[in-house]
Amino acid sequence: MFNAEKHGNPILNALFNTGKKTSNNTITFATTPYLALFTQMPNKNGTGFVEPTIDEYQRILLTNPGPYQKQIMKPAVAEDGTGNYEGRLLAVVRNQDLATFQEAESAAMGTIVGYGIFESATASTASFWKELGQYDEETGKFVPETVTIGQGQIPIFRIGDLEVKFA
Amino acid sequence: MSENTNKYVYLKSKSVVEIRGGLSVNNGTQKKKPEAKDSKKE
Repeated sequence: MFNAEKHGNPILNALFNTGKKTSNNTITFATTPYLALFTQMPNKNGTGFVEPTIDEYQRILLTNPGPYQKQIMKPAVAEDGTGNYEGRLLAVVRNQDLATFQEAESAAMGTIVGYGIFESATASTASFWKELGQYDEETGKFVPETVTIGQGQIPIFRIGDLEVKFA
Repeated sequence: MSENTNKYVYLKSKSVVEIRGGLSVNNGTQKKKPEAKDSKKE
């Protein structure tokens, strides 16, 4: 979810042209989106989260290339080039390269419950966050799925497994 | 089992940001509010 306290008003002002100043009617995010892992999800203000505390853990800059030399995140494009897919317009971004974190070499990283997007490697307020998991195809409900990272293991989002869609 | 079994642990998050809207229509069946009483003290 988006950080409503931080980005809610700019988004709504941009949509409805309700900012007191013209500059209030546009919204921009930092050009350095960092991907973080959480062992505890943020509160509604994007704070109160807990990231892994081991020395090797660090956020990933998503504009950097992954191991296949592609920028990690990319908008999904319909195969027929018309912007339509299965009858619906796409508003989807997903990873086209691996999002690989450092190996938990010194100790276990813990149980990862979700991820966050931050404007810098050290920002203390998340811009966006979501639990790990996916939607059940039959029920349509989001099914959370936590993952425990033990010592010596490497957490990875495989290609296509980090996805955000507007609907 | 090889040494590297489970070396990599896979994370997955496929999410939908829902943009919800609710439209409220007054269909005229709402009860009329009673008229405000005179607040003057008797």
